[in-house]
Amino acid sequence: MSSPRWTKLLRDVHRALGRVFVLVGTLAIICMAFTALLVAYSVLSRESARDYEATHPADAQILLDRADEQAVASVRSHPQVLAAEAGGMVRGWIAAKDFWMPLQIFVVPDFTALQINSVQVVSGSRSPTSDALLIDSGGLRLLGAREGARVRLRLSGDSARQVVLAGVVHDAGIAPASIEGRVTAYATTELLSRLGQPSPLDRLKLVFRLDALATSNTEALALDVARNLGAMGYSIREIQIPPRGAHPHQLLNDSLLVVLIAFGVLGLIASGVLTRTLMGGLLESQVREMGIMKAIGASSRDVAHMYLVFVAILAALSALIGVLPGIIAARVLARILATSMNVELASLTAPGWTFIVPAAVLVLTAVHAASTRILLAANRSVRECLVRNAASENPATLPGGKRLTIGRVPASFQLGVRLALRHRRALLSNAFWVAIGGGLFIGSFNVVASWNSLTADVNEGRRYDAEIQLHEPATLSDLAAQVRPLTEVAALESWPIVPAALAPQEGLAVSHTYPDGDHGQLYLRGTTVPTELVHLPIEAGRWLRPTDRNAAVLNPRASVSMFHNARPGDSIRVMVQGSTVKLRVVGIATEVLTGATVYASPDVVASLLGSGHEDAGTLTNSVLIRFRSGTESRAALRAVVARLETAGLAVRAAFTISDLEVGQRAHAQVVSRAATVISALMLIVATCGLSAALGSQVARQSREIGVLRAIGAKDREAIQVLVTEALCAAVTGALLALPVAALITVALIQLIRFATALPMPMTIAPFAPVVWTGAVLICAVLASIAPSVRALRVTVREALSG
Amino acid sequence: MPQAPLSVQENAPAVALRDVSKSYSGPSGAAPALRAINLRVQPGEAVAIVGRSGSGKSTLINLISGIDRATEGEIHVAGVPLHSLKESDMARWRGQSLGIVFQFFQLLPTLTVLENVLLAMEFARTVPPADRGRRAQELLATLGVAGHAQKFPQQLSGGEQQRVAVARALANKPAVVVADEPTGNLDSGTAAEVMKLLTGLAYVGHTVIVATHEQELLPLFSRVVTLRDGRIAGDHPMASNE
Repeated sequence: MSSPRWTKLLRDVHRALGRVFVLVGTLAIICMAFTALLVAYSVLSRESARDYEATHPADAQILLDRADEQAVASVRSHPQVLAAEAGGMVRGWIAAKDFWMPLQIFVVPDFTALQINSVQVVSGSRSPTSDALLIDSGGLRLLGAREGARVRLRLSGDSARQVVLAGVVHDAGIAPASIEGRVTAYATTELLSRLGQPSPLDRLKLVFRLDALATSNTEALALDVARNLGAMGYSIREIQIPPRGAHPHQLLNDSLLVVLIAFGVLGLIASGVLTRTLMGGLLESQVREMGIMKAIGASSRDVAHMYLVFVAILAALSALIGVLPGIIAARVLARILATSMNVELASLTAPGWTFIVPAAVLVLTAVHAASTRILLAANRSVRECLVRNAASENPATLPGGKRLTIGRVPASFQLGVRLALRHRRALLSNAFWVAIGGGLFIGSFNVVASWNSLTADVNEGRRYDAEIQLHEPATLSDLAAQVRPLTEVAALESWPIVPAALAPQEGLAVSHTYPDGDHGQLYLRGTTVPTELVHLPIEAGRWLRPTDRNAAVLNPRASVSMFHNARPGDSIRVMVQGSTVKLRVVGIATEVLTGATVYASPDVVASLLGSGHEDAGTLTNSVLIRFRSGTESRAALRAVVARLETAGLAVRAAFTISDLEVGQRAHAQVVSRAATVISALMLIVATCGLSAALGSQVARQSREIGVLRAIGAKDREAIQVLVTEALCAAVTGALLALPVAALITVALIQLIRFATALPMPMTIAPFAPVVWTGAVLICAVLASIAPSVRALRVTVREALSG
Repeated sequence: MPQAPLSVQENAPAVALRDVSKSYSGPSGAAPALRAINLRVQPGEAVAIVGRSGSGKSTLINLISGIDRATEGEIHVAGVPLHSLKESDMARWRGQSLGIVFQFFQLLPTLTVLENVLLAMEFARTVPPADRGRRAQELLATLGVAGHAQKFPQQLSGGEQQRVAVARALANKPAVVVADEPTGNLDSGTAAEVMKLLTGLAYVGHTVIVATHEQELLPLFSRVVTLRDGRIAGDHPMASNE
């Protein structure tokens, strides 16, 4: 014969099936979300590390005048070097549908022997012929081409040549093509020679022995190798040492994953509060029965034990329901994020703890959260449980004893408001859901708005439409002569740019650049002072003045990542083209998603390029152009590039500001998508929580509903009272959500400022509170109508007798 | 395993109240419900507690059953000093030594009639599990509701529900049975039947104490205690109707 106490609980669950369903459903959603986030985090962490390590990334790259066989043999004979290969990298353009897209080609002498910074062949040829390329899979998608297609490409001002896309590879060592807006390809020296690049091998990729790395740092080892090469007569341009074991987008990836986990944890906390709220409602309906059980011999412990087991079973059931969809969702999430992170997933298997932990934590959180309410209820005396006294609740008074009246407003509305004020604990408890969910919802959109505001401010400071970089410096007057006749061009300024490195060690420049030559690269940029085209927001100090000499303004990445938080007044030293330059920092300018850049006074770069800086004879390798208003920038830029190349001025890179903004949006899209998903999840959890809480509250108020009907209220009026009470909770919560959102926004902005050194403004997304308030008001109405209608089916006598 | 019963002194009164007072705190200060009550009930007596509304009848029943605690004085029921029992011991004592019948029956709506009786035995743990089902069926048969064993309380009439409540109260063979207005929710015919059932328990060794306002049913009791304004205003035996 089954135990009557457990039989009672099972039948109680059946009686309150709606509320139990909401509790189990919401907890299952939270468990699913947390499981998905944890499993995806585990898979992506493992797979991104594995994928990147599988490329056998070089510990260091030495850029030199020529990486010939003698250099390779010399490096390989170094006692600390485990492996060494020659390589090269050239930039150019590849024809997309109707425009030229930036292209970088990694030069590989022998694809069959490629070990360092290797690629994984996805399809097609493993070793391209002299008229073919291998292309990265992301680049292929970006290009909209297919394997085997013939594409046109240009290098260093030469005319376009056709090559075949012989194979597709996956290169885990590069950032995603969709975010970088650049195609990456791989070619032999023969192809490069055909394309007019006879000596493309200009770097040595090194992997050091583990025992060597254990006793010395990478920089010292690389410097030793470079010194030997220097002694052999090679000219060393730079030593590049990328962060060990870190993908070029590691920071972005890690930040995203941490944010996902943080929201998963918040969801778990929300599950505890939801359980507490719902159990409070369920227990209220059980108070009389608890009293009966205690009257016939049950101890408080017996009663508490029953309901704690009840909560544990419900939570375990929720976990069981949520875990499997969570694992499935994790696989989808992992695939989506892997694409944006350029990670090839070899396995989606996650360790068991990633789905056991969310389930266990959910159960423990639910039991812990409910235990206070259960113990409180179980420890009530029999008399308290059996004797109901509605008059014991606080009357709806304002401070000072004034009663709330609202003019000629209908009585049902007034009564609803008074009831809401009388049930203050329930009001605040119900409002809690709206406040917390709203805080997270609004906070997420505020962060996105802050980011957009920052990028808008920065982009506002870019008052040009396009930038053109040349392969070889030319005089500004020559450039102007070619460009100004074009009617589209309204302004032209010289802003030369050269790669730079940190303070040299023994005359050799060391940087933390990745093999793609961008991520981690430091740039020195000459300026036009005063300028019409560039007005970056100044975070500290000032912009450059015409009278400045050897002065510099840093962007945040340069200041924080390269020069140890250099501030105005500090001095920095950079290595450019073999020369060391000492500069005085006069300001910090705000830029987003731009590499570390030192903006130097015009004298600095001009002297590096070998000319004066105050006349039309100034040499420059980069210009900024503003087109006349109404001009289509891309078409105008194509016209400018064509004219320059016709004049023998080879163009290395050309892009519009909109291209730059596309890249910014792509970088931000990952985070903004995550914010949207999290906000949607918060909306679901909060509305489920509010629905559950309101449903419980209406059930608790059956006696009051009975009184209303006994004194003549129509069903419609009784529903109006209850809906008004629910709307009071929704409005209270929506108002409380604003300060909560402010706190969350401040916390997140501070975190981003700390992590990125960017001066993120505090910005409000005005639509977010409106959307949130509208959603919860609708939810409050819907959530209170259904239980109200159910409560009205009970007869007045039954309602009054409890 | 049945737990060891709390100690019972032989020849002691079944119920003894000594200078018992009870006050309730309210917005306008302390409101006395009972004042200096001294009462002794011998084993096997059937005592009616009568008085107007607000005289303290329900309060007295609550104190005797341990549902409430006295503000002052001593209460001994079935030899156990309730005034010094901890709350956890009170529940165990109540399950083993006392049976309670309420005005509104207070049966658990999601349990069948049989399960309601079994639940009392499960909490008290005095009747071995193997014997519980049989004992419950016997009790229900004795009270004339065995045919409703598998029904839920709301499917029964008021009188039938009250009979089930009496069966539940007797489940653990309590020494004392208390009832607070057990016929307040019943028609006169059914009320008389239920009251006869309750007072009949005295003949089989139970001590029965019933708070009631049913004047016409008082002859069923062996003694009537009258409360007025929280004090005992009268205490006299009833002439036997046998």
